[in-house]
Amino acid sequence: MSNVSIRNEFVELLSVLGDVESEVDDALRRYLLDRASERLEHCRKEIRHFEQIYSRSFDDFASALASENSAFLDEVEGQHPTWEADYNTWETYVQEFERWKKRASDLLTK
Amino acid sequence: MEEARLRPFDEIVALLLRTFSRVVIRRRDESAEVSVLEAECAYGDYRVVVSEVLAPDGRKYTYYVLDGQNALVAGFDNSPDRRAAQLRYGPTYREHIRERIPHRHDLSRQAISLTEEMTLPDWIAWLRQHIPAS
Repeated sequence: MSNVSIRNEFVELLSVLGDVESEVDDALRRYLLDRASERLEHCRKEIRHFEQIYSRSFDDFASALASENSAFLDEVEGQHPTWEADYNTWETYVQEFERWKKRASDLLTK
Repeated sequence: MEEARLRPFDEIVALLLRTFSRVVIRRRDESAEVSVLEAECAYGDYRVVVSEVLAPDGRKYTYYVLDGQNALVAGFDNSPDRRAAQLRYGPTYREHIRERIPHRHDLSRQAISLTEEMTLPDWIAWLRQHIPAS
């Protein structure tokens, strides 16, 4: 638990609604879920952008690049000479999406 | 303070603007947890593509120079690369296939070599020394 200052007028209004502490908890949970949804939607949009460029999911893309068969790598390098920049950004949004998905899930279940 | 913390790429963008012409910021997404910057610029007749990512799993970068035919003249990055893993680890490279290994591509990607971790100021110094703006 941490202590946070809340403006007196907010405390007065919250007390009208019920127990101040549980009202604050509920409000914060809703706020965090809203912010998580925003970030999830942002990540989803960015991920979709790269999936359309490379016609596959990030995991499939990374696996194909790591394959012993260099045909896919040759093809990607022929069509996208700076694919590594896309890889880095794409991976970062996939990882962020997974983090926010877990956070949102935790907020809903804890 | 909050404002400064959330804009980690101000110095990088300022350096790009001082160094290159026709600087276009393709993507700039900065949050407390993840920051992504992608930019394209002109360096003489060359096209320069720069990306920087700051994420919980570390810093990711690409610094590329391309010619008029869109062929890679030289490129530094630390993205996972099977060939870089083979160079560093030899026969056991598959155990390190997703590892970020700083490396450099040359000659339209016909050559690859391992490097030290690169930063934008270091790369610009390298660029000026090895590839004069045509």
